Amino acid sequence: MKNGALIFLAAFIALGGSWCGFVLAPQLQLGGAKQTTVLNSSEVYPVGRPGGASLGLQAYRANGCAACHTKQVRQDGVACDVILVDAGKNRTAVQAIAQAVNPALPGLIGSQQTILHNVSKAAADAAAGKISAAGGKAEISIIAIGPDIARGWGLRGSVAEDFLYDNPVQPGSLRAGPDLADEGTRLPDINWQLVHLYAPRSLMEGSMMPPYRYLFEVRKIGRKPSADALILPPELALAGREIVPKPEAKELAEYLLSLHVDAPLPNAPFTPPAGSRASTGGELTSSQAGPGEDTMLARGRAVYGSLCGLCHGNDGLGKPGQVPPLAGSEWVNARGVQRLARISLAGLNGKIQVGGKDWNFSMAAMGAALSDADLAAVLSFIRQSWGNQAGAVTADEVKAVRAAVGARPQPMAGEQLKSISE
Amino acid sequence: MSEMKTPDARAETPDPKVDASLRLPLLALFGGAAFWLVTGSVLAMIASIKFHAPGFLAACPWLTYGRVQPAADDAMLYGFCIPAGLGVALWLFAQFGQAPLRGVLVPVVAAKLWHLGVLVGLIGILSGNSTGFAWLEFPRAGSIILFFAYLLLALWAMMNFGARRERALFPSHWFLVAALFWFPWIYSTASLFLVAWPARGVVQFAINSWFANNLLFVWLALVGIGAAFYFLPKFSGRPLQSYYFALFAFWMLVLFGTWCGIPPGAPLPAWMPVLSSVAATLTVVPVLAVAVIAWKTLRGGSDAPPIEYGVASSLRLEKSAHRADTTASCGPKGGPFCFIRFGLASFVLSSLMLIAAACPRISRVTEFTWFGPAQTQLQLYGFFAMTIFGAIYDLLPRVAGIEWPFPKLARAHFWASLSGVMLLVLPLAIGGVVQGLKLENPDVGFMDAMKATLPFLRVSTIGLMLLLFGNLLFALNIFGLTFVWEKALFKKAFAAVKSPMDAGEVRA
Repeated sequence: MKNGALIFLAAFIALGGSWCGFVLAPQLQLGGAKQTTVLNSSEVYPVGRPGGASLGLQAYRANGCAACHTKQVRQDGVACDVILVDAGKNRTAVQAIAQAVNPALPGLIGSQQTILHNVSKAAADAAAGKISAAGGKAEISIIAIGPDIARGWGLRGSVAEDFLYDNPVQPGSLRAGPDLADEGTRLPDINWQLVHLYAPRSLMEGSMMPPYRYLFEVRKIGRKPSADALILPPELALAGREIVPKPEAKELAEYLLSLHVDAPLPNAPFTPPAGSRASTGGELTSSQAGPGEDTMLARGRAVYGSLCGLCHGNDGLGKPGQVPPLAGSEWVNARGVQRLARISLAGLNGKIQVGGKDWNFSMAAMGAALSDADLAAVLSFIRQSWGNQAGAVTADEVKAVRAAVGARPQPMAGEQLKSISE
Repeated sequence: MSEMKTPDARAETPDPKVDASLRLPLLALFGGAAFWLVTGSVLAMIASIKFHAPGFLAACPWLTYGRVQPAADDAMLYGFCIPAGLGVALWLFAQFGQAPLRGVLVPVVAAKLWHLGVLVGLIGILSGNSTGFAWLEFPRAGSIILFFAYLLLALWAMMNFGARRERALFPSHWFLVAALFWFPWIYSTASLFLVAWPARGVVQFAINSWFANNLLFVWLALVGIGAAFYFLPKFSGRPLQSYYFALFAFWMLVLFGTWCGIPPGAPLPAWMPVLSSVAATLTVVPVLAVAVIAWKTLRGGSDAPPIEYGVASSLRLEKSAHRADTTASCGPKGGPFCFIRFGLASFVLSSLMLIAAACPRISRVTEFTWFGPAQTQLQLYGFFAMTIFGAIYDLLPRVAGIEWPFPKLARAHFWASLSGVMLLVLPLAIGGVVQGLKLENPDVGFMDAMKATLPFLRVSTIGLMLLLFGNLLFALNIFGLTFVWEKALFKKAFAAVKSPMDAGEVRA
């Protein structure tokens, strides 16, 4: 039995070793973790969530959202993009060099064009050197790479800092549904989030997410409709009744909107699109765009990269079978901007024909997330990139469409959009 | 080490008081466990049906997928695995040591308390009061009850261990004693630093991963392998091959297994996942050691010195030999031996899946997919529950002094569980790899990747259905046996009241 006692003692020391390793050591290393500073900025990260959103975390916990959704973007590493900022005086020479560097480029390049995507630092340096030798100006931006990032689930991988203020921390372990780490950037429309909770299949065909109707109340419409009532697709609307989210649902949606992984950090570096939420640390609404056209395009590229590009891709080609392309799209290149502006302000839901193909697509309304100036900038950007050659859009035009669609617009499908004049 | 080969003379004849003293605690532990087993299967069925029709029971907040799924898992782990494992451990201690359990009332109350804790915890999860931590979802009230119930049971098991009359130590002892101590350590750590005084940020993630691994992999392995190392030689009639190899497996498991569990892609400082991956690779050693021990014991014949169980054990072996229907000779027909062998095979397979999923390359595909739940189910059901079923089918009739009321259903249980585990685990594992490969390619839409898993999920529902059926058969036998025993008890008491003079003639 002397042996026995010794062996048991040794076994407990062995067991306890893992306690020191994975309980004590993480606590010592990270237990006192504080906010860090965003790369090349004075902003701190993360900032606490606003009240409703932090209550929403508890709704997320109570309803077991983490059983199907992760909040962990995985990153493989970093690569470089080369962007033409200014073609300079000798456009043809720059054009020739750009096409020599990347033969896949369209025939006519504009400023803010991505010359090279996802290349090594050496290749990016070489290309930028050639362009500046020809009198153009090229910028190199660092991008995070990996399938999750290519899917538009975030601009970089998740790191420890992202979870600093969460309690409980619910990173999830199964992707029966998409990753939610950057949900607030991707789908910044609270009505979209709420309708999706209420009836997921009305926005995502074939979704396996259960409808969370118990988070909503069906009410008779009184003298004045409730300000919170959902803007529902017509097939779900009930005559004389409105669907109003309970406080829990609203908080949950606010929490989802508060989810972002878009701040570059010392241990997760990348170049954020200039002037984006990530680099200003605030909302996208504060436009820094001046009157100059190139400044406007730069702003447009920034907004596009941090918002639209997540789904439509930095090359504007969309995703085959999922997201329609913007490059060469008849909706983007239309003479007027009525329809295009309406899609971005009010969202889109249902069938639409783009480039001769049928798409069934649900896009969140961006009206609440973007100011008139930003929307004008990003629409101008998409109308003048990837070979698109339509006219620029002004903030006043966007303002007019915004006034026309009203504060609570209904997302339309392609056929309905065609009833609006260009 | 030679002490184990010289059994105590006092224990030469098995003491009938030993089995009798365990009757009430074991019936309380196993009865509740059987109830939660069936409850867990029903909850798992509800969760699985939602992948056929997401609208199924969606209007009821108590039965939304995010609550039912963890409730099903916890009912299986806390409702069945832990109390049933503790019951088998209690019996093994008493059996090895040949000391009757004293103060039987305490473990009986503790067993009831444990099952009350599970009830409180499950209601907590279903009503939306889950803590949100994987495998630790029970709200505070439930955890506190569980913790104290466990302490009482473990204390009584240790007191029985200390009072053993046969002083020899068997390999099972190492495994079981380590398990008894390890649970309160990990459970209190996790409850205190995740729920009572939550740690900051991702420290929670590290602690949660460590806890889940040490409960699901290490604790279950310690108890399950500890039990298997008793039943394997007993059923096969061959000595365990061998004592030193078993000790080696134990040491390697305790040293390396405890460090697994941090996923390779976790948003934690890099040293943690790396250390965990290295530990997982080294865990191949104890897993293969267990495989080799089982293989050699079943095949017999080896150069290594075999373990000789005490005379008492071999006596029992002879005594039970005539019960051919439930013990040694029942090999191919679905008796306890089949359960144990299937359990050991599942242990090796599920551990290898765990180790593979900790390898960064493979993890790129399998992480966040159905491969993870497949591995967990194989571990929980294929390995642990099957091993414990085998143990219970063998020991409970002896403890209660009554044969199983439905021995044929016990064998049907084996076949239902065997096919159920296969139809649950294989589709989920394959579906997980398919899902992982599709998610790795950003050109495949998320919805397409998700839809590709649906056929696999739907087949797994059939597996769950078979498991539910098997679990019902098990519960039927347990409740039937308890009923027969209680009826006999009433008869005896009634006879004693009616005609005190003849009471001795009434046989239970």
